[in-house]
Amino acid sequence: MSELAEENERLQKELARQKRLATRALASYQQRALQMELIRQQNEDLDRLAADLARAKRVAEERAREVEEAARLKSEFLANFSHEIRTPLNGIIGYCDLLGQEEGERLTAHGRRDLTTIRRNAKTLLALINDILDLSKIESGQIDVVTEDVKLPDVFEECAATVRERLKNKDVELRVVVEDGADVARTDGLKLRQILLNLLTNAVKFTELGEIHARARRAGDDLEIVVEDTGVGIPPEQLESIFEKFRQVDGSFTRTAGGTGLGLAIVRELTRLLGGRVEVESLLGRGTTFRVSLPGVLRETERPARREETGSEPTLRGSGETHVLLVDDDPLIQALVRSRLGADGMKVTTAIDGAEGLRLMRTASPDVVILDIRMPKLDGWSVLSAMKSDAELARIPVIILSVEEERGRGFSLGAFEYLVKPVEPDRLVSVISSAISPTQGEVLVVDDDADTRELVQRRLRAEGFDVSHAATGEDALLRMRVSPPSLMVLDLVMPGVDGFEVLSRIRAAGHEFPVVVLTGKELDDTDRVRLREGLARVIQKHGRSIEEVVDEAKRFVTRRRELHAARVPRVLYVEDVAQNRDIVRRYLRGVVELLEAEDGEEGVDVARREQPDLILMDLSLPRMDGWTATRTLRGDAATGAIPVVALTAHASAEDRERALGAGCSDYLTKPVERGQLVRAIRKNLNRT
Amino acid sequence: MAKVQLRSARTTKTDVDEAIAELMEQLGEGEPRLVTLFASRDRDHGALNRALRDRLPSGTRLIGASSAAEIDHRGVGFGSVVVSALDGDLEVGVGLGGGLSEDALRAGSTAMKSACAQLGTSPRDLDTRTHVGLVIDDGYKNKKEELLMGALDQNQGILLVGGGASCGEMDPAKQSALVHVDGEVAEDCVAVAMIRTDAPFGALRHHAYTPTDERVTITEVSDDGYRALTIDDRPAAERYAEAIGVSVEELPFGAPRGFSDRPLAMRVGREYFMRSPLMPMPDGSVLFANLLEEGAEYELMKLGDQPTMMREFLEEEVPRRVRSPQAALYFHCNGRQYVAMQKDEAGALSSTFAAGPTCAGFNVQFEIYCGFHINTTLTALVFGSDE
Repeated sequence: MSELAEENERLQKELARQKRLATRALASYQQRALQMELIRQQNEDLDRLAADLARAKRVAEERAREVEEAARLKSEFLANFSHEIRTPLNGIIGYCDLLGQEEGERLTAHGRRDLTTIRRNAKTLLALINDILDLSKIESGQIDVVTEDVKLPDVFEECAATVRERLKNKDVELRVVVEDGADVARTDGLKLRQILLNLLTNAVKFTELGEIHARARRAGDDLEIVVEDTGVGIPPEQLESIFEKFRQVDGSFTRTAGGTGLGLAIVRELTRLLGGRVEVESLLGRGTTFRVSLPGVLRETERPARREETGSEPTLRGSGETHVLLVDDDPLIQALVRSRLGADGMKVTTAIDGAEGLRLMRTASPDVVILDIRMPKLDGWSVLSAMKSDAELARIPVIILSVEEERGRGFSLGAFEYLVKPVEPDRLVSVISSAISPTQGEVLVVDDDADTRELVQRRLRAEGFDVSHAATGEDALLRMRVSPPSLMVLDLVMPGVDGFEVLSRIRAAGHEFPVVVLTGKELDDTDRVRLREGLARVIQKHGRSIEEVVDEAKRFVTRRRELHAARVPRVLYVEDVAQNRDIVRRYLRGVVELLEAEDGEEGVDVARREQPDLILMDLSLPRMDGWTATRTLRGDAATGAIPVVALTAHASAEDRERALGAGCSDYLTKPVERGQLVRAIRKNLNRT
Repeated sequence: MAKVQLRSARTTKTDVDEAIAELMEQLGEGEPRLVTLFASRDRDHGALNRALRDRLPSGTRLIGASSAAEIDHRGVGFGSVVVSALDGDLEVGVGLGGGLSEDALRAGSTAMKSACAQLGTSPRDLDTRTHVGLVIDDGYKNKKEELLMGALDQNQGILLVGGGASCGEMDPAKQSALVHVDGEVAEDCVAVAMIRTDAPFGALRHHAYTPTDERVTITEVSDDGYRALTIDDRPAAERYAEAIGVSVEELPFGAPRGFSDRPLAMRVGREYFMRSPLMPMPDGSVLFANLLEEGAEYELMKLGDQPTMMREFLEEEVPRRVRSPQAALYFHCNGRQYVAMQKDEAGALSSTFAAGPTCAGFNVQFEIYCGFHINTTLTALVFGSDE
């Protein structure tokens, strides 16, 4: 029993021990569960943190998208703003140009001045808009920087030529110097040009007397551009803020000088963009020096071979290119004309006196001669006379460019056009274009009666003809020698050289253009024979005679156009705004045969049907936009080779890229000037 | 894009067929993945189960319990039947482990394995990020720690939420509970419903106690682990009474200034898990609802405003921790109900359920949260939506 009792006691102890063990095991398990709970909480915290991070990332991404969207909207706004404001400006400037060109002679002096004021203000507004857009783009980081070889002499020459126009009423000498070793820079040429142009413009604005000196020089691998002027200077306390937006030197003079107050801000931003810095020093009343440093931009450039010394006769380009001989002893004019026409793809040869001019005319056969009057050795009148007496040279159209106003004498000696200095470069280009255009002056109205002349001209113009006129037989013959018309409307009874004589000399000179005789003279048999021999169509002056002249003109010109269709470039202009079509139509009258379409779809249809030589394409078009139309044309075998030149108010670099990406060969922004448009057309036609 | 939704229905009809018909009508059409049934203990649970099971699609799993009170979004009701239907992006497996009082460890393990098997997996292979388990045990067997040990023996990372089936009887001698799993209704068992979902979910817990920064240490525990013999090396009841400033006679749970007002809690991380003393024993020890461990330091807690804190939990914490909450299953401690009734806050507390997502639940005999047996707490399984 005692053994059993002992065993029982042992078992009970064992049971109690096992129970304690189990309890402890359970408690221990609970401890493990505690650890699991801690881990669970930590996991929950981590999950929450991850969720917060994911949420923060989403928010950040959303914000980034919003920022991107805002930037896109801003960019879109800038593009739209640019487009919408350039479109009416295009109209203002374009119509001012047309009014000046077409009706300038009929305007009063006040009218011409008002017209100039309107044009100047429109251009100022355009400059302001361009400045604001430029600065907005820079600030929003929308400007890309390209690196290219930039020929600094060209840049300096171009910029100087641009600002010289503004110095015409000032006693200020502008000098530009590109020192050896600073000829070519590896930087963004467009931005460098804008920097220099803004500095020069600023200098011109604030300098009334003395000198503006712009120079480029090498400082190690750095390029230093210095623009010094002898202008009003900047007060020391304002030097700090001179590069801030809309800040100008305070004072009555600067208010007179005007400007947007953005030019120097743009200089600073563009300089920063190019990795450089701009500094200014100034002495009030003595002048200002701006110094732009662009580090490292001369490092990788190859030093170009030293430019050939002047004096050697330039090589002339082959046929098909316009060669202009400038006979003028003024180096400023030489630089201006060379720069302007050179940029237009023309070859310019210069002669510093009349004798050299005549020599070069014979050896180089220029297409056009620009002739000054007052020159050493042989003056312009003598040169012109010599030319017109020389059968070889007589055919070369001569544009007189002089400070003297002697238009009558110039025309009587056979000048094609007479321009008075200073002349707007675009005007010069326009006149040159006219001189070399085979279609210019399609109808020449010759009548001594001013009223009849005016009536006929108006009626013909209303029908879309280019019209020129002559009041005498001599005048008519002179004009004909310079630029034979497509058609002549000729009166018979005129003082001096009468219509019979004119007709006789025309045919004797071998000209075959049709002549419509509009006369009130009762013709006898002899008259009729003379006219028949002269192949003239006779219309008697009566109630409907002018209408008959117009009908005849239409027939002749239509026939002529048909004959010359293969020769005259046919340009399709796709534009939905009637005003813009009107401007371009008038710009290109006589230069090209213009087809028109009002939207992208119609443009594509017309292009496929008519196969024009070139297409001018607006980009914002109804039904099918210009980008799509261009892509469509490019993708079509029938139209794929036709050059498409974008002509748009979308002016940003992105717009340009987009247009070129769509297949445009070139890109022009509105407002476009006539010369610029003609140059672009010619350039792109030459490419094909 | 995943979510889990819940529809609930309640009836007080006593006729089984009528009750089930009404419940099904309230639930409406559909093929839920899981249906819960919480019914007053005085109902014929077998008949309820059969009638409901017959009306459910075969693919729908059923889990349920007898209850001291039934909960839906209208609040806490007594003598009723509450059914909920969960559908959406979830799969459910259910399992039952019997013989809880004999071998709770095995019962827990069996229920867990069976539930996982229905999902075609094992506890060991469960991905705890996409799985959560519901556990309902016979609450009066007081075997939660052991059954949890069994249920989690293969994977302690599994998240479990639940509570003990119960009844409304206050006399311990007459208390009994039933557990439903699909077509079975049983006592002395544990049921596990393992839920797999890609929808957001959270196993949450809430109580109305705040820490007081006063701590005591359980220095000696009885062999069964449920009685503190000494606290801070002094007779447990005496020390406890002293710590909370009352006499030993004022300590019993439910007394205004006693254990239910100033229970203990174990701090785990940032949370406090309630460790409720129930009554002082004649030998000077204190009987707890939970297993105790010698040397454990607990914090004295203070009861707050139950309805207010419950509303804050439902309105603030639930949406903060579960994205777009859509559905909630609640296991509401009988002790909380008891305290609320004592403080005449039962109505206010009941009405707070409307502040949370659509819900179903019942008043339980102690709660389960993760691997713990806890008390005077509301445990909740809340599903949301990531849409």
